[in-house]
Amino acid sequence: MKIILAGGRRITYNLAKMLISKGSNVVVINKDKPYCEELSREIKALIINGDASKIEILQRAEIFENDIILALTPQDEDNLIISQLCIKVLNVKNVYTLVNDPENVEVFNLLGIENVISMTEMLSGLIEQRVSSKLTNIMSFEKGKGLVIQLTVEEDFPAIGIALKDLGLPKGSIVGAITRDEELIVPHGESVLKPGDRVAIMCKPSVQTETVKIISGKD
Amino acid sequence: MAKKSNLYIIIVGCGRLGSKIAGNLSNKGHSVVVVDKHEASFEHLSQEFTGFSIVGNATEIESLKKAKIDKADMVLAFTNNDNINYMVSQVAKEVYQTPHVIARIYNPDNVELFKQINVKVIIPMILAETFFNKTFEEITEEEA
Repeated sequence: MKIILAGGRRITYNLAKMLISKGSNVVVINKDKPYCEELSREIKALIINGDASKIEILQRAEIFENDIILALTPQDEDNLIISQLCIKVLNVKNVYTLVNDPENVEVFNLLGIENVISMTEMLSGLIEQRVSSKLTNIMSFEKGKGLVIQLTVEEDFPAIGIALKDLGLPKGSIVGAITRDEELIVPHGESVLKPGDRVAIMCKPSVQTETVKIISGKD
Repeated sequence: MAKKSNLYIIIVGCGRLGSKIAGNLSNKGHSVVVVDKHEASFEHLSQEFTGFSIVGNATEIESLKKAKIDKADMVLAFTNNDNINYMVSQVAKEVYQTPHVIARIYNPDNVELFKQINVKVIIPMILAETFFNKTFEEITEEEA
């Protein structure tokens, strides 16, 4: 199995280096000739100088169905065509692409590309989550469809002393664990929160703000 | 099919081809909206043009929405970048179900991708080749 990195500059170099150190077989395609020469001196990978949005260049990389390709160019339209050539012409199953315009995540999904990553969306999501409350930890899973958020219960939280089932937490959220005095409690509907508890909540991103507000009283 | 007298047509890319076609279609009574990322491009538009122009990057869905792509009878992808033309075409065809999409493409290599999504293509190189072959035949027939 090969990993093909199409386009991109620093991200390609660093990603290639990381993947190679983990033992992967990496192929880099880049249209900038001097950059290709630089890469070929620094990393042990097959470097192809050419425009990855052209089928003949992709064919030179001898991509097979089980290979992984990442479209990393700075242009959304180029990443779209690279992805479509791989999916529709070369039948590659694992196609990942970056997009600049966060709205293109949905557009690309509608056009049949499943794995679309928007750096903008990822970063702004992280910032929003950090600044919006006393959240101490956040993890997303299933490509962002689910979140685990962790927060520490402070003295003034309105949820203190109320049974979890009576808090009115929105559908799509559940308190999954409470850490109290170093002990992990898996709570049930009758459990109550106490100051100093660390709470782990599993929820959908759409109800995250509401959930945090009910527990902490703050946005 | 009865001929619809007034079509709503979006032209993406207001270069020489886009601006010329925009003028022609306006003149025929169609409603035309032109989208280009450079405002200066609209200077190409002729007096005949009576439609709207929108400054925007067509690879950002926002500018296509501004042009009311959901209402369009026809989308013409006429920028000088084949990949942008493909993106505009696929978005029109598959996200907004635009009935008619025509793209101009310089490099015929990726023409298969356009055909798969039922987009009609104009390839200047092939048009020139066809014209040349025809002219060459005429000349050689005259000589014979």
